[in-house]
Amino acid sequence: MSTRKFSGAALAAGLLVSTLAGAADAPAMPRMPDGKPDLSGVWDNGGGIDFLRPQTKADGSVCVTGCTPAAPAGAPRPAAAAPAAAQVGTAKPSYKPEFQARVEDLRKRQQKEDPVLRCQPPGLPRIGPPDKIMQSAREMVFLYEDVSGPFFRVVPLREGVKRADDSESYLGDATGRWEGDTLVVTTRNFNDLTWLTDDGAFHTTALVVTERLTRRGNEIEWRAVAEDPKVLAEPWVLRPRRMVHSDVEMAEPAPCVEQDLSHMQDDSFHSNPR
Amino acid sequence: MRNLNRILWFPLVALAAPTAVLAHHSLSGQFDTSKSFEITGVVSRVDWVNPHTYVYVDVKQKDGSTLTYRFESLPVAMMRKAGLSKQELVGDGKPVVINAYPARNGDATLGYLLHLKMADGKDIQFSRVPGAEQP
Repeated sequence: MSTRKFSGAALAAGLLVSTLAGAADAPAMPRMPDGKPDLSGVWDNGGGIDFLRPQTKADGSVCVTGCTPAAPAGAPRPAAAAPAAAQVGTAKPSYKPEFQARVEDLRKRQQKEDPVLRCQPPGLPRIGPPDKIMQSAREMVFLYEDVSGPFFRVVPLREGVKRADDSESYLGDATGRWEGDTLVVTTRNFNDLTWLTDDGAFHTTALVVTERLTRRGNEIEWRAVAEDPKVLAEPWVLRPRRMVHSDVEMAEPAPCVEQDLSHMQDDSFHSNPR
Repeated sequence: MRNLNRILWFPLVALAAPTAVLAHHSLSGQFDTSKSFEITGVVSRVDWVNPHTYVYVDVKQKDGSTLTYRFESLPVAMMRKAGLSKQELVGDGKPVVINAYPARNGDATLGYLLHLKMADGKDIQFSRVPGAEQP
């Protein structure tokens, strides 16, 4: 065997060993009795506060923000956007030219117009990934602890499910299906009372949101696409979010009771697109 | 962990903007974030609600009457992430020392909670006091 051939064989063998080792390291995919991936459980998706690094001292003192020094090196980082897919998607949707002035107007006046600031339901996809998933062969149930309050979505895994009320709604009517090991949830029949994200991102009742949840070991990658051809220039592909399995059970979500806006002395705001 | 998703809403000007969840009015729209004031009193009530929790503190006045101050604070999810509970903020009925941003609307009994120091010395820093040395 020539040196070149030996090197090539060694490289191939090394890659194979490395691949096998990687596969061995990866947590096994839990599955339901029907063979589908088990997505049930509590999932930490960062919740918009993944930047928070609280510190606790020996005497029980706690520093929540503005702490010095910053979080100690090696501290576990909470869930955040999936790094492998960091380049996918955008923070905000793109509107047709004739609707851009309306978005800008709502953006400037969001302190007075944003429904979430008044404890209204956030809608989809603004609510983000679920905090807990309950699963059976017939349906999924998504539970949310949102700043606007507790929310749930029932996602039948079959078409034609009769619902108690077919009115347009804040979180729409969802239907799920499996594409291989990915759960695909398509939701429609929304009202137009929510925003897609901050900054005046309104939508119409033509909105359709497709979510894709793919479990890999102890994580789920959540992807979403919002389509509203009446006002959006193109389907809005959101930046993927990573959901990390948690052993900490959900607490009862706190109610949303707005008490701040009457104190405002100007229209200032800051945006945090989800 | 949760969607302050919704995030969520904490108008904390001292914080980097989070990547998710929250739209929101600015903290400086309600409070003068260049100043702080201090009072000592007893926590009489905690509103464990979103978008912001509120801590009520009864302060004895020189004439013997009680004046109740109201302090806006963090959303419940941020409290929980820091390991704080409603019961912990309610405390044991002993006096606490509060540092807060004053309200811009002229209400002297309204503030934004920066520090809550308990009688046993335990200190909770919710945000940095303007100009203060860091602990």
